[in-house]
Order: sequence, then structure tokens, then C-alpha cells
Amino acid sequence: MASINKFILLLIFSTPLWADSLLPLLFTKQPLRNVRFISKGGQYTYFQNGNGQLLLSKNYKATEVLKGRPGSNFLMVSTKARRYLLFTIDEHYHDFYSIREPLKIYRVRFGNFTADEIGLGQAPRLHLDDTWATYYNLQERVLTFQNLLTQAIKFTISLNNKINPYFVPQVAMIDRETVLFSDLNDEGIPGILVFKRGDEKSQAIYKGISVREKIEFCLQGDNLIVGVFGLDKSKIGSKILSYPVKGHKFTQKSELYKSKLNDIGNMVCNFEKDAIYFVKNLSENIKAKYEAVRMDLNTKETKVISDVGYANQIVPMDDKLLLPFRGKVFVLKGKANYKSDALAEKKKKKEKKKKKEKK
Amino acid sequence: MRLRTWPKFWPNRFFSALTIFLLIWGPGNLYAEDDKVPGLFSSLQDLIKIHKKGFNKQIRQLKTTQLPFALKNAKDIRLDPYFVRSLLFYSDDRYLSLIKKNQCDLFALIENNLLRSAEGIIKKLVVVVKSPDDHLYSTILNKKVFLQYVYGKKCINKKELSILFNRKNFKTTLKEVNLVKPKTYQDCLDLFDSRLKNPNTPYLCRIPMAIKVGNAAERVLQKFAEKSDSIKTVYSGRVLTKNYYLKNTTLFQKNYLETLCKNLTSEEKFCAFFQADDAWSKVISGENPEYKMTYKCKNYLNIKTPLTPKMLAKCAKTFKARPKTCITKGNAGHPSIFPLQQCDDLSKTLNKSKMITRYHDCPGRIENQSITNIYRILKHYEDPDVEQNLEDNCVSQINLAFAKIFLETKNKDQWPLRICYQDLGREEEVCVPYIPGDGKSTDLSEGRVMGKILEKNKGAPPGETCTVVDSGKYNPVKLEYRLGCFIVYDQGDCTSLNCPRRIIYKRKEVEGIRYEGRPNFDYFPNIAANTSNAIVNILKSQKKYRYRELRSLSEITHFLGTKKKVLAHGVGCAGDILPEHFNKRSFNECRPLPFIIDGYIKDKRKKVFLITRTAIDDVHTPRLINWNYIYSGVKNYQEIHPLKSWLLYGINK
Repeated sequence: MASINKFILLLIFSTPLWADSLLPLLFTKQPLRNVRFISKGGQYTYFQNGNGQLLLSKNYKATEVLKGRPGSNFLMVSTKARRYLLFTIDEHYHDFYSIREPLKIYRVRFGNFTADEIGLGQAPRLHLDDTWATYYNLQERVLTFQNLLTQAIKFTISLNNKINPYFVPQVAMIDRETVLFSDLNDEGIPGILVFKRGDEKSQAIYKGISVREKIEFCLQGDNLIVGVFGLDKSKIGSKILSYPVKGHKFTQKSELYKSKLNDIGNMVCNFEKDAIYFVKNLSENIKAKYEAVRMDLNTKETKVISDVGYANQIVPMDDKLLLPFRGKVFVLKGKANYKSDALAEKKKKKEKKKKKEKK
Repeated sequence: MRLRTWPKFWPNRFFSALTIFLLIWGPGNLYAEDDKVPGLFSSLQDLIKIHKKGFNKQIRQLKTTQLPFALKNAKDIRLDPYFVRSLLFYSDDRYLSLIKKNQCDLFALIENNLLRSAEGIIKKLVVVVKSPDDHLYSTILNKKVFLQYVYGKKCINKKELSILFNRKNFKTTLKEVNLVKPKTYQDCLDLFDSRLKNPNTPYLCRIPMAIKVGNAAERVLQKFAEKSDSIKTVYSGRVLTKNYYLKNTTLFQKNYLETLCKNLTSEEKFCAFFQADDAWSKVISGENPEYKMTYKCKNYLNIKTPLTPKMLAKCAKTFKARPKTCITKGNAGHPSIFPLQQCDDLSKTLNKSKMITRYHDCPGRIENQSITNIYRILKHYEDPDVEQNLEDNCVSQINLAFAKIFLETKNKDQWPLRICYQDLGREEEVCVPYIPGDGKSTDLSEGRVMGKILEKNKGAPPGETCTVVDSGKYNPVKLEYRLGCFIVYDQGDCTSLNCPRRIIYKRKEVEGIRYEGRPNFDYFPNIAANTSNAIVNILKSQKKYRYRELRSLSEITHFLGTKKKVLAHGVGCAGDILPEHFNKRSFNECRPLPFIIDGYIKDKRKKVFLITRTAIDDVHTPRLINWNYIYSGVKNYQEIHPLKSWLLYGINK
């Protein structure tokens, strides 16, 4: 009898128990697992296939952007400037699990299919209206700044971090002469440094207090937004600060947000003019809860925008803000259904207009 | 010298009561010339001073006297009462409490070096000898001679115990003693009581005492190198004895006996030792295996040699008192994700963790995280009792262990790592398979393969094996590096993907040899047409591993509860499993991260957390992860996996 009860219990609890989310799911014409980038309105879709190809779908036509070994994996990043897209190719994605391995990084004009290799590393990012790209080589601990307009203009910064082989720095460019990046000191405490190309020197503008804190930052308009999030069970809590970028002094700051709990963070900036997004810890007594929140930079108010219970990442993709969760992709902001293509919709609208005019 | 009086004292079953009598009202030294007679209210210090003075005088006088007859003709030999008083003054009370029945108990304490006289460690004893004509003589006897006499005549049981605990029988006897950890407090009190009554306890207490005396001797030898040869011999002997006991006892036995012998007069203190529930105390008490603390402790103390119980106790104390220590210390030279876990959290996980980890690997240097995960699984199931020292050549040893598994099923030609060279005979480039590292046991080891290449191209003697050496150690000026061939690499820059090497033969760098290939392997099957190549299936066919798909938390906890040695392993996205360390900035971003789950704990709110080591975590620093993150990680990887496989399985063998 006891074993029957155990069996019944196993059956009952063999499926994960959580409430369904009310957030819209992302639907695409391509299988979701192949999609790598969908532009606003679905005009351009970059997707990969099992043969190791990255393709661009535009005007009902698919064109190859790059071909690697079968099973290759591609990842793309973009910004609001929509001038370039950066992407990496990992040709041994499924047979060489490595977080540190440098990958080939390419750039492609937004909506175009001609790709140029720009370097070897990880975490490619676009800066200054897509005129600069940065990427980081974890093995060599070198951060590279590559000008995208003139390939010959390039500089590098070697990081101090020797303690965490999996540390990837945050990077921001204030202008082509002044950059910000995060690093770990010899004890493993994080900080933010400003590097002026003319001086060839780095100077700390924010120093962490513990190895158990994570520092994130981004440029949002004229301000540098710095998020400090405690790790594990530390009692550091969370705070988000704002520094005016003007003058590059970073001495004045204002506190935008503070919490006693350690939020996950993973901030998204520059998606909206006056708001940032991050993953907040909303746990209370017995129940643990993590959700995506939107913080208004003017009112400093946070608003919970997800309902999944254990949110951990917010991914921006052009005009959309997405929440990947347990194999599904929820849409936090932007259009969710890309099943019907943009051209067909336009045609339908035109036909409707014509009909109205006839009437 | 003939005694004028004979005190009516012989140790007997009422010895304990008589000790007090002896101390206070007992006869004075017959040789002492003190005017003052210490009374009941004199301070103990005064008593000891007076006693020592008298004792030394007695020894001086007896050294010059000789017995007027042969010792073998003596009718009886007994301890001199003044010497007994010396034992009472200078010995530790806790050992005296072991004298329960008769004088034989006292002799056993003397035999096992547990008592002290005014001279310190007892090598000679002052005795009273009864001559054939019934006269009494005081003299000094060697400890061995005295014990031989009294054991033969009066304490036959002690003689037997003495034989059982001699070097010849020590290991077997200790095994049979069966030291066990009490289950309840009452069990502990009963155990303590029986230990006090047990006649072998003095023989067991000899072990911690010998270690203590040996440690002191070691310090003296280090400090005073100019000591005379005879003193050096004595001290070196003590160090050798210590090393003998350290070698032939387990950490649990050492700590158990140290606790017992230190607390012979306090059952509470003895039992407190078994009641601590932190992982570190449990290692000391023997409830947890040593490897749960030794590697972390060695690393924390920066010690390469085996740890002494004292060092372990120091670590346990520090890890318990200062939990933040473990956040930054414990993985130096073995790079892994940082920061580490707090000692108190770690203690909870280690208490429940099942994986056997008698090694300290280097995840930050193994680029293919599958290799780290598979190595950990192999070490758990294949040779769990073998300690693996990975201090000097971590990457190559792990690669070698991994390669062996692979080569048991594959042809050498399909092995991906190769050394290529220009074959002068065939005038073409030839590539041959190799396994990184020295690995002298296999023909495919890098050293042997390079030796064969040099034999063909540089006329090296047949059978030449090149030594793989870290650039920090390689010194061409030294004689040992003048002859032969060496593969010099830089341990700091060496990962499994990129490890620049220099080939040196007869002190000259050899050009034209290059390394190619990378260790790509399917951890789980990635191609439907070829599933047998996946490492999990190789382990299934070669090592008879069995797997069971685990899809829910209840399945995992149920599975982990079924058998002692079961583990769960899987692959999930790093950004979901460790979201605070890895953020996602691209659509469908997922960095596959293998992991092992080897237990679970329920917190005060009955919430379940899984004890997890990702392939980038320090092997001695498991972390607690919420099932929701593990599920999300595995599920998100499933969505983009070529076979859409759910990759979380229980392993059994």
C-alpha cells in the first residue's frame, strides 16, 4: 500500500508545479529555437539551421550570412542605432562545452547579409551609435575596442582579474577617448574603472566593498547607471545609483533604488528613455520570488512586469524585451506574434483601405 | 644501600585513596635533609620544590650505589614510595584516573609513557629490591628491565596487552579495538564508562602521547641543530615513533583517541566531541570522511605535506568561527568560479554531499567542461579510495584519465589530439595521436610519442621518453636537464585548448613540430545516427553505468535517496543555473554548463535545495541551487539541443 501511495505521489509531483503566466508568448514563423534576431515589425529575421548556416530572411527570401560546421550556434546583439549587428559563431557548441573559449566575432550591417570578421572573443557589444564594438577574450584577459568605421582603429585593455576565470567585464564608451569597464582587484572585489586613451591610465570611479557583490553598469542618456547586487546569502542587498557623465568626474551620485534583498540584477538600459529593467528579488518569508521590474528613472518607482515566479534574465531584441523561461519566451515589451509576416499584413491593410474607399 | 625503615605501602586496589595519603602524610624522603616538613597547609608549589630537591638528591646518591647481589636473585622488586610520590606530583591527573584495580595499572601507565617523574619522561625508575636474605635495597632500574620483571611475576595480563600493542601486532590489534562513534548521548556516556574500565585504554592513549612527544621532539631538533649526537638520537627516535603512529592510524582513530585521552576525567567533554553537527567537526570526529576538509584545509594553510590532526583541528576551528574564510580561501592554484561559498553554507552541503572527492581538480584550466564533469563522475565510481595528487600537472592527469576511457573503445586514429612532424624518410608531414602529459604507463603519452619522433628525426636512442616539465622547474643549467629531451610548458598559461610548448633535445630547441586537434566530445548524444560515441554511452557500455531520466524535483530527491553512491548529472544553460554570474544579452543565448547533483537539503521552511557542483565550481565547494533554476537551465538547453533531449539523468552502477 505504501509503495502504491509513493507511486501516486510520484505521478502527482512528476510535473513541475507553477502557475501559467499571463504574459504573451513569442511566436515566430521560423521555429523559435532557430531564430537569432527579429527586427522591429519582423522586417528582418536572422536564423540558423542544422547545417551550420546563419541566414537572413527578408522579403520572403532567405540569404546565407555565414556557414560554419553543422551544429554551429550563432548569437546576435544589436542596439537602438540599428546600424550594425554583431554576432558570434560557435562551431563546437554541442561537443565542446566551454564558457571561456574565444569565438569568432563578425559584424553585419543591420538587415544585410555580408559579414566581416572583426576579432576573437566573447560578449560582443556595440557602442556610440554602433560606431564601436567591444569584445573580451577570457583566456588572455584582454578587452578589445574596435572601431567599426575604420578597421585599423583599435585598442585593448588588459584586465587585472586573476581570481575568477569566468569573469566577463561590463563595458561602456562615453566617447571615443573615454571608456568605462569593470574589473576585479587582487582580492576579487569588483570595481568600475575609467580609462582615458590619451592618458593610457585607468582610474577607479567605483570601488566595491566585498567579493560577494556584483557590479553592473550602463549608460542611459547623460547618466551612468550603476547597479550593485549582493551575491549568494550575503547581506549586502541591492542598490542602483546614477552618476552624471558630464565632466567625467563621477563624484556626484544619486541613489535611485535600494533593497535589503539581493536582487539578481541583469539590468537592461537604453530600451526606454526614462526607464531601466532588472530582475528583482521579491521573496517574502516562506516564498521565494523573482520577477522582472521596470524602474522609472524620474519617479524612482519600480513596477513588476512579469509573473513567472523565478525570472532570471531579461533579453532585449531590437524593439522587444523578452523573458526566456523554462523553454518558453515571454514578451515583456513589444510585439509578440510574428507568425504572419509584415508584408502580408501591409497588403491586408491596403486591401481594407481600398474596400473602404470603394464603399 | 640498605634501608633503615620499610614503609608499609604497596600499591593495591585502594591505591587511589592512598595517593592522597601519600601526598600529605606519606613518608618523607629518607635521603632528604630538609628541616622543614611540609604540612597539610603548605602550598603545592612548596611541596613540589621540596620534593624535586629530595628526588634529585636521591637519584645522585643511588647512581653511585650498586646492589650487593645479582638482580635475578632478588626476591621482590617494588617501586620506591618517594618515586611514586614523584609520579603523583608530575603526572597528569587524567591518566592517574585509569588506575582502578592494582599496581599493574600503574605499571601499564609507566610502560606507555603516560606518567612523568621529576625528571620528565620516565626512562629509569627508583625501586626497592628485596635481597635473598630479605633485606631491602634502593636502586635505579631501567624501565624495560623493571617492567620485564613485574610483568613476568605479577601482571601477566599487562604482559599480554604489551605484546598485542607492540609494533608487530599493532595494526591488527588496533583494527580489533573497533572504535565507534556513539549514536546517542547515552550511548556516549556508556562508551566512556567502558573505555575507562578497559585495560587497553593506556595502550591506546600511548598513540596521541607519542604524537605529542614526537611533535615536541621535532621542534627541538629544528631549533637546536647543535645538540649533542646522543640527544639527537633520542629525539629522532621520538620523531620516528610519532611518524609510525601517524602512518598506521586513520584520522578518525587519531582524533578519537586524542579526544578520549584528553578527556579521561570529563565525560561531557568527550561526548561534546561527537555532538557537533558541522561538517568540519564531523571530519575530526570521523563521522565525515577526511577529504571533505583536508583539501580545503591544505589549501587554506598552504601546506603540501599531509595534515596533522592539530592542523585539521585548526582549520575546523577557523572554518567554524570565521565562516567568511571559505568565501575567498580554499581554491588557490585550482582556479574555479569566484567567490566561493561561505563555510557555514558549505558545512551544510558537505554533510549531505555524496560525491567522493579525493582530489582537487582545476576547472578553470580545463576548457572543455565535459571533461571536468566526467572526471568527477569517474573518480566517484571507479577508484574512490585512491587519492589523486593533481598539484603539479592537473590538466594532463585529468586529460589522461579521460583519454583512457575514450581509447578503450576507439581506435587510436580517431583520437583528436595529434603531434605533427616532418618525416625525413617519407618527406611528408606525419601526424600521430598523443595524450597530453607524462603518463609513462601508456605508449600514447606525450612524452613517449615525442621520444619516438625524436628517434626518427634526431637520432634519439630507442625507447627515449621526453619529460614533460613546467617552465618554472625547467633549468638547463642543472645537471638533470642537460641530457635527454624535455617538453617545456607554462602551467600558468596552459589550458586544455591552448598550451604552448617548447621541445628541448640535448639542450637545443627542436623546430618543426606542432600540436593539433582539440578535445571535442559529445557528452550526451547530439546526433541521432551516432549515439554510441557520446561519453555517457561509452560509460554505459564499458563501465556498466545505468541512467535514469529525472524530470522533477520529487524524482531527483527520490532517486538520490535510493542508494548511497547514486549521483545525478546533466547539462543546462549557465545563465539560468547561475543567473547572478552570467547574463544573457542575445536571443536564444545559452552557454551549456554540465553539472552534478549529489544530494539535497531541506531548509527550516522545508524548502528543498539541490547540492550542485557545476563543472566550473571548485570540487570541494558545492553550492545549493533552487530546483527552479536547474529546471529552467535544462529546459532552455533542451529547446535548442539538436535532438531536443532533456539532459538530466541519475547515474547508478
